[in-house]
Amino acid sequence: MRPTRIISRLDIKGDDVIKSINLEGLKKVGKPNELSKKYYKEGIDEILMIDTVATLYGRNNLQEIIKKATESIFVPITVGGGIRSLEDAEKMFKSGADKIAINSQAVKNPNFLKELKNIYGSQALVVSIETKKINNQYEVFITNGRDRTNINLLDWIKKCQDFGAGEILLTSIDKEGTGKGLDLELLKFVQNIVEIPIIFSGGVGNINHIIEALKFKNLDALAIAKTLHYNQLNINEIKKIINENKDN
Amino acid sequence: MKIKIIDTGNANFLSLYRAIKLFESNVEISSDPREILEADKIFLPGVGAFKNCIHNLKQKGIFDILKKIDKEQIPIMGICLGMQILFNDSNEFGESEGLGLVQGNIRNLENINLEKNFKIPSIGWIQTVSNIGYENISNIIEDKFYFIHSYYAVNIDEKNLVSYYYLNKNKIPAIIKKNNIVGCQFHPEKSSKQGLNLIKAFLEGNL
Repeated sequence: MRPTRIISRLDIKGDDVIKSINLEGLKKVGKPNELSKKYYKEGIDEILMIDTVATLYGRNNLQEIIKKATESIFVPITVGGGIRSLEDAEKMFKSGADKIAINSQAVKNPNFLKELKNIYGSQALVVSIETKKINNQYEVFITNGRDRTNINLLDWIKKCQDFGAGEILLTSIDKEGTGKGLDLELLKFVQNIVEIPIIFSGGVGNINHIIEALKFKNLDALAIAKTLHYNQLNINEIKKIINENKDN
Repeated sequence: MKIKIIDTGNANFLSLYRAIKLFESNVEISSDPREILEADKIFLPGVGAFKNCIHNLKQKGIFDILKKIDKEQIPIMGICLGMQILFNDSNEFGESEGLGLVQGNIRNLENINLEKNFKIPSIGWIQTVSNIGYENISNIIEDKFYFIHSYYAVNIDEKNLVSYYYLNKNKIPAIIKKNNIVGCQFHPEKSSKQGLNLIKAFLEGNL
């Protein structure tokens, strides 16, 4: 298996990278361009920028941030938050996004995925899924974990695959921002049913959490936010562990 | 040196533009056939569907010009889908003809994944290996580069294969070259320092 990709996740509000706990409650941790430049220099595999308030307020200010980022960052950049139309998507790609992450709009209108796939291809299309266990079933949530959808996680993943998603960004709402470890139960639950690469997000707090997760097959990529922002882990250290464990 | 990036349609060209700009000042994104023929170096980027890309090139009147680019002898680098369209044809969404500049066909990775032991798209930072005859440039072409693809080139002439990686014991072409024509399956503009180095090598005529 090829090494798990390490992705730095930047949740953005206005001009700031913020950090939330369980996708709620906010704290500013830095500026998007300074942080992404730092991670690029340290050898990050990819950068993920999510506009956390775009869906809520129906606006999107990420364009300028990405345009600036592409001046000095030469690794893939995925952009998400508030992409609701083909025009929104085009603006993102023109600003320098390599992939876009779609969440709420895909739930509202799954055909949007097909339209995007036909124009930009699956490789540019990430479906972002937030999930939480309700009555012993994983359910899909939208708007940063605020709203229930009554959609079953497995059904939704299969649909996203069929409709042309190239990757799934899977966020565990319960673990997100806690730094208490990844949702291993969720990882185990999805590892054999998802045919496209999964980016697992939420819960990395220390190196042991990564070692635990690497025991599972099919950990294609790991998105890390707070633990990198607060320098609790550095990218070199993470990559070393991944290379040591990659044959598991 | 005049450098043109061919506007093949729907993609992020800004990153490639900025990567080239690190080394050369005269870079433009263009879909003007005359401008393209006057270039000293050409980049042919592309993502998405093969058929769409060919359709866009035809509509812009660039397809026929590119078909003869081997005779013009202008160095050209195709990237990702831009590399795939250099070959004869693809069976993505039904048969579609390519530029036919390099012998070979584009096929789905599904064909070599019958036991489903890897995921498609094939994504990641993958170590490439030099093919026989290209060891002298191994310092440029052997490294971890960023790949993201669901299709790959088959039936290619061994002497056009510069570097590759293995997937289920199949050699997946990473870089191909025939005279003035170079193709990269991965994204050099997204492959950190080693990718930028490769772009520099191409611009300097060392690839």
